Amino acid sequence: MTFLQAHDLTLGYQDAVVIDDLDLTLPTGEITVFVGANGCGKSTLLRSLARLLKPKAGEVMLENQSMNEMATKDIAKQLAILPQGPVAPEGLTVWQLVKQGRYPHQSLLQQWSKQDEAFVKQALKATQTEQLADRTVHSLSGGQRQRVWIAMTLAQNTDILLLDEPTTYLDMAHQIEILDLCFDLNETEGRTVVMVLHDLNMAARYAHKIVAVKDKTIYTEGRPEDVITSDMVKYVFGMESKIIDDPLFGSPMCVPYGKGRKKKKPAAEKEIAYVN
Amino acid sequence: MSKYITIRNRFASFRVEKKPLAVIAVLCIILFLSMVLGLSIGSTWVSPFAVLQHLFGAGSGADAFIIDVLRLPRMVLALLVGASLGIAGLILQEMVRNPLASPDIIGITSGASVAAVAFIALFTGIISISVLPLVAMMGAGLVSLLIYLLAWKKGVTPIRLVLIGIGMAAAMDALTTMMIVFSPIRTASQAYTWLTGSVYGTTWEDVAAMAPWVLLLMPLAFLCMRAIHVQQLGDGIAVGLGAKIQWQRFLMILISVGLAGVAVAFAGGVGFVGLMAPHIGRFFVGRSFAALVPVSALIGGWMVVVADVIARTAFLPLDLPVGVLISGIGAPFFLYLLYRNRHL
Repeated sequence: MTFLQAHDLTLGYQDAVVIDDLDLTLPTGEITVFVGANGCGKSTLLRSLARLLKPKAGEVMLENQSMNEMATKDIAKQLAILPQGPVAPEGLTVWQLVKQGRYPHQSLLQQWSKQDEAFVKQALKATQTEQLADRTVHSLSGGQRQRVWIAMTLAQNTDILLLDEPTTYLDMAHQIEILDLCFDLNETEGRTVVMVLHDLNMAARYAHKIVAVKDKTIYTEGRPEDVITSDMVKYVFGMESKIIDDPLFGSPMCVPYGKGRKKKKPAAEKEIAYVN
Repeated sequence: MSKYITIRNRFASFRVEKKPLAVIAVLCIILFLSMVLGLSIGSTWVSPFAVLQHLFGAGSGADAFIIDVLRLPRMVLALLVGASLGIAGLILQEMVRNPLASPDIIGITSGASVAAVAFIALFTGIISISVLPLVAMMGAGLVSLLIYLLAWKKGVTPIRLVLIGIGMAAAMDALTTMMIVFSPIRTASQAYTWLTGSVYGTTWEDVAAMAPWVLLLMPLAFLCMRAIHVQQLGDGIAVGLGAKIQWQRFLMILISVGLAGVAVAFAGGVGFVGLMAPHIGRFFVGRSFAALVPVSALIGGWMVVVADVIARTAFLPLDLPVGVLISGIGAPFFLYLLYRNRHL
């Protein structure tokens, strides 16, 4: 199983430092989720773990080897990334898109081996998009589209899968659909999945490990049950909340305070209706 | 029946779509017929059968001068020019992911124009006009290099390349116009003809000088295929899949500058083919780059061949520069195509 680690990692754009001197080890064969406020650098961190962003200092290690010293194609055979909001070119079909996942395994002369075909078919099957193969990517719904992109990264056949906000802009049903897919990939195929998610409750439900990013570094990391507290939410997101147990899964569930219309209670209970 | 032919052996594996092969075959036939007909018409009519007999070495020799010296070299050059521009435009459009890209935007046309007009204005009568193609090509290469370097900022992004290319083209055009304004009228009209694009008076020497470049660069265009397909998905995905995008981009620009530069060097500023041929190609074979390379080449070549035949025959005894015809007929045709595909 392939290990992914960050040592003394400092990241940024031009002069701005976004992540400062961060150390991180990602557990193999588990689902890890990065959470944090908008602009805290969690996406930047994920991108640098996939060498899309060169670190200002420090290094990312893949299987005890620094990514700086590895050929980018060799990295692509072990680690796949799906950046945020990918856009397919007009007219590209699902099959053509998923096929691109085989890029690191192909060469000038070897462009369509039996293995390539097998992995593309398997990726379509795992994401239940076989029947969409001849459709254009643009004609699909948001959830289908995201599944197809994930299929492309699956065709890459890597141990590690990095997903940057795979559920953003999807409705609730499609969010669950994508996260269930990630769950299955981890559970049945043992893939290491690392994602950035905005929904803390979904993160708590699906992740083995939560990494909360704040102030250019990791504020806390660990199992959702240990990490997600109202203090943590207050510090990381700057928001008051109450943590209860998810009625279905028992995982921690964050219920934020704030304004909003409260459900009318019968008159007799009016006095105790105002908690907080 | 499958839509594909799969080739697999010990050394190589490919999958080829069947439909483009049919399109290519049809285009070849149309091109051949157009060429035979084009060789027939002119101020002296030579029947198509005589042309065919002559081409296959069974002719009477009566029309040898008209075909071999006047019409055929010019036509072959037009074909090479159009094919080169078609492929150059295709590579650029796919690389910058913008359907409006053409060899003009990376400075090939403007660079070659400045160099050529400067040469015509300053060295006519001093240095032989036969080095003009070389000068034009150097101009194209230099300006493209300058644009590439100016666009470089930890790598080149397509949008920076396009914007800097447009700025540079405007500056070069101003320079060209200035030189034309300040030169004597005879030089000015010669420069204008060059700028419009013309294959008038082509000899076999010209063809022999151009052909090796085209034959070398065209197969290289196929090598761009994997890079094009992976970069279409965006820089993040392409890097994630293990593509060396900056290196690939540099090579693609190089191939495209080479192809368009050669075309411009020998035929002048023939515009529009590089923009149009790939679009018409997509109309027939969709997005597959491997299919679009030969199809864009055939369509581009056919366009210039036919436009030149019309340019030299329709206004007899006048022999118009082919560039006028390409823009004059090509532009409305292009608008019509866009009108029919309003989803673009």
